[in-house]
Amino acid sequence: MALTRAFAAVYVPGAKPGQQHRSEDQGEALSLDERARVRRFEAIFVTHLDAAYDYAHWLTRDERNAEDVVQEACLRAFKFLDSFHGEGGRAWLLAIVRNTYYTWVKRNKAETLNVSFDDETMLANGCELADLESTGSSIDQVLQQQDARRLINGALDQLPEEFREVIVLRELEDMSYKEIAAIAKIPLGTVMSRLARARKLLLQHLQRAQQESRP
Amino acid sequence: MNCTDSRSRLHAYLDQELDLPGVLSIDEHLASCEACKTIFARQFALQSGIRKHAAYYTAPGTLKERIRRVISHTVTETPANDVKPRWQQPRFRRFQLGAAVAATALVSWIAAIQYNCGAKKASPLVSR
Repeated sequence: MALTRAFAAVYVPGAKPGQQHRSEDQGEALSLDERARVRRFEAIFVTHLDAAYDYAHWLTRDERNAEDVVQEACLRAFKFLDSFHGEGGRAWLLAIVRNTYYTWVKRNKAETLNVSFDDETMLANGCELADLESTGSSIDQVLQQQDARRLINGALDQLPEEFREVIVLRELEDMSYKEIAAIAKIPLGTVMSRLARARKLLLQHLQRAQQESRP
Repeated sequence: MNCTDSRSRLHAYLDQELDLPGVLSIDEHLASCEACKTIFARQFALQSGIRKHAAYYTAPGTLKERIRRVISHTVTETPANDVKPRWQQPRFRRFQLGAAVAATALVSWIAAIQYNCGAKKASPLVSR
């Protein structure tokens, strides 16, 4: 494991327990507590890094920004590792990723504009939300198209942020309602209503895409 | 269960957040209601489509390296003031506890000896 090897460079080979050691490369002292913290962080971090990056990517919609957010989040996670107790390391890390993202958004407010369609935009364009009961077209037809991947990702990309994140946490990270509520800091009822709204918007978007693709 | 109840639990059913009685009651309703069955099927198709086609972005190897460097830097940059003094480290805490127990035992032993000596000296007076 590359990361283990990397962290091993920080550790002191052959150091006796409780011994303050001075690394030749780093020239700094590492206490037993610090080493234990690094090992503990590694256990959480390595397992859930992909989940953290995927979530950050869907939030920022940009590779480099996602990397910056995850890096900052991991640093925060390391600093506040002592506040983590028990199970649910992935949800804990994702919650930090989310907090880091919103800090990042505030810092880059002038550059970042969350352009997305929402109900009002759609209504302004004369596209009323499709009622699930009245839509005659089958979603299966859309999903069987060759460019289904592009359509799905395009629809997800255009969802308002608060809806997109619950869909990503639910469908891609397989989080329970309780975990999503903890990560997004919203009540359980809001998780359910946002999921329902997000799915409705996605269906509407996909159906519209299907109508546009018809000759 | 009627259609309104069934549809209000659509997403919880879809996300396997219902308990067994809730699931069974919806299953029973879907078996006899074509309209609800169509709606549920559409939601299932959407969920399957997202899980199958949505991009899952995996962390690039370079990111792992970057984070490794940042954490290493953080650990090694810890100021000397932040490193706990020797007497606060676990090994020395254990030593402190042992020393306290030994000191208590010693004081008790000395007190017991002095008490016994005092009793021996006093005993002749008592006999008189």
